[in-house]
Amino acid sequence: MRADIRAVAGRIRESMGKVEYRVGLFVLVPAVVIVLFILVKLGYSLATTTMDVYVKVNSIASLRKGTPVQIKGYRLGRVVEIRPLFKPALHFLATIRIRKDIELYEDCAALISRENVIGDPVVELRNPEKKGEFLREGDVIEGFESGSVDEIMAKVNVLLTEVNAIVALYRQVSEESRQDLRALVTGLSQSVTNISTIIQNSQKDIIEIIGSMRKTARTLDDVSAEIKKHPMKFLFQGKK
Amino acid sequence: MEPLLEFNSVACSAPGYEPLEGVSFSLASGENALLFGIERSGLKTITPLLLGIEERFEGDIRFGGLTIRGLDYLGRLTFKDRIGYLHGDYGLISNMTVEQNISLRLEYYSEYSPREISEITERIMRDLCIVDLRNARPVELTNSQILRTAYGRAVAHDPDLLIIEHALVGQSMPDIRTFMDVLKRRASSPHRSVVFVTYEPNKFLDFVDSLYMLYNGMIVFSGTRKDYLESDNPFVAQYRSASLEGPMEIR
Amino acid sequence: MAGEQNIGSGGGAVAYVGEAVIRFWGGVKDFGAYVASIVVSFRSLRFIRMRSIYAIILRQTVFTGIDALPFVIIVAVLVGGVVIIQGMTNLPRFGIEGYFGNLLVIIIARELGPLVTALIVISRSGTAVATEIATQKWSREILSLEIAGIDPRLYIVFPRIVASTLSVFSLILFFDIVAFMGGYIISLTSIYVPVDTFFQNLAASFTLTDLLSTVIKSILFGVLIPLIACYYGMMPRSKFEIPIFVSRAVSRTLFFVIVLNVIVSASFYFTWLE
Repeated sequence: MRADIRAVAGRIRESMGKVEYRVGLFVLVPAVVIVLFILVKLGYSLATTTMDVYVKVNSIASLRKGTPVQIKGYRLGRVVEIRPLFKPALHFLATIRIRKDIELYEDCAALISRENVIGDPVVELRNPEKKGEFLREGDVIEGFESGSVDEIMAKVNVLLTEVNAIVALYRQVSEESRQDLRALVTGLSQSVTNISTIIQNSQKDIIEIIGSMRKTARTLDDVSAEIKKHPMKFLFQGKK
Repeated sequence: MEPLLEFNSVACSAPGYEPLEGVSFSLASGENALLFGIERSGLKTITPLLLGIEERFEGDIRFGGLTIRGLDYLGRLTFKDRIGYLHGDYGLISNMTVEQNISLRLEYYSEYSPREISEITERIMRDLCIVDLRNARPVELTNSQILRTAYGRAVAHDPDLLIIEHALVGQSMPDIRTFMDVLKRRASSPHRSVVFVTYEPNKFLDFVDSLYMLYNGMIVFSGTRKDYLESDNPFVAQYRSASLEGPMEIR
Repeated sequence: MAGEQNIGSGGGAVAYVGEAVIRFWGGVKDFGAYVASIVVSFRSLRFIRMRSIYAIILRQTVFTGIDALPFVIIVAVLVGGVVIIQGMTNLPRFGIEGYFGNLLVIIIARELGPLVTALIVISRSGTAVATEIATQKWSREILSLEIAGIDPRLYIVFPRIVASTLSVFSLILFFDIVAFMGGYIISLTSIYVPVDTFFQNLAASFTLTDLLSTVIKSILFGVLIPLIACYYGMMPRSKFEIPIFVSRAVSRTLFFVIVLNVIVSASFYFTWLE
């Protein structure tokens, strides 16, 4: 009889044990999630003193896993992973693992350049002029390759050459308008000079350089289109 | 010797209850009493007053020498721990098994260890021949099995006083033979008392020492089993013969 | 005559409103007394063995929480998907697709998570509790408990409040997590976002205030649902009244949960225009 009682009590304990196990999991899983979330929110790092940030780049010609990341020449970390993304168009996401204790802002840019005579690549982070929110774990920043600036410059030069050719053509067509054409060419040359000056002087902020160049290129496109469409009108514009 | 239970000139006119007027009786420890009467005689009010459910009454009800009105929580708990109650609806907890129903009270506030509770429950189920039904729920039980389980729950804590109110309604007598035997053993115990509240006094005549008949909220007969059987009291005579003719107005 | 009729009907309307207000106030007082009696009954916890209540809490948590989990997960995926689809469709029009994480937090974590979970618990457990207690009362099970010295407030109401609070709290968290994950998976069909970026943005958008508001809502809903269900479950005096009071329990619980949701949200997030 005692054995029976023990068996029954054992069965009850066993079934209750299963229920307790399930209820325990049911309550503890969300509780653990909340505790972890609170720790993360309070700024506790569960693993390291570094953070992972993503750099979005169009090309990985010069970027490699392990490429150092620095600011003002001071080393902060390195590239730990590079992944291709296929949507909406092919581009790449480089994960850089950098120190948390350096003051960086979420609008900062990453310039990918070569740092020595051998040409080792380096990711140079640049803080924006205007300070905003701090850069946080998981943020995505825009990356630019220094080589791409040269490419854009070359394209601008080609465009200007074409414009010069068109101007020369119209110089032949209308001698009366020579003076205007000269002024135009002078103006365009001035623009080129300005662009070059801007490029040289605006190394501080590569994003503005590119924006400025694009704007200038658009202006030149407009000029070119206007000349092609109404050459005479363009040449005699402003004359009675 | 101080009586176990004492009603002193109890009157009740609380709404929702059959009225009582000057009801007095007492019961010594080890004695068994039976209260009977027709419908609306006040019989239905006795148990709520006795159990402390209704406190709007005049007079005094004493249990173990203490008045039961105005007891604090601990006092009421102690009082209820000395009382067992078995009623005609049985009130088994439908989502509990037979075993859980019987051990419910012990699990809730007794001093017994889990092992002792298991042993007590096992003994009760064995006495009432419901060991095989330990894991059955009330919906799976027959009337007599429900009665036996409810009885097991009422006596699991071995109370000084057991109140049985209309508990055999709708029961087949052969099927409750085991129950009656167990009940008889308890009723004959020298330190345990049973109060029967019933419309069928004849079923319990073998168990009781004294009988009280109520009519219009008053006790119109009190006496022993022999008195009841031989009395020419017109109320008792009319009740025994189940006649419409007599001092009681049957509506 | 017409004037008299108008006065009469106007007086009737006033009397009707007055009666309704008095009835409402009576109900509030009665409910307040019921809640107070439960609070007072906690004094007696020291006299009882927690083991018996512990078993009920476990059973109720299984019923209210674990058994409801599959349903909550399905609803969470669907709700998360709907929010994501609407977000993906409409946010780019305004050029604010970058606020995707914020949108998820605002809609799912702050509002839909607690509210939908509470609705599921009310529809599953609130009705079950009210019906169970009403039936127990009708079959005099509760009377048997009272007579056995077992306090129904401690034995029936209290464990259900504890179990419901634990369940609602956990279910809301599961709902949020699953809705976010479901939303992420659905979002992958049109735009690629790295999983860690998605969840880091989400975590950045989810503030401690959001968490506190969720916890407070889960506690309030967890307490309120069984409290109202038990209150109305104890009401029926005959079995014919059981469906009436069960229906009343559900409608009142729904109403008060929605009102509480608004109050908590307003107290956390509402700011006067400056």
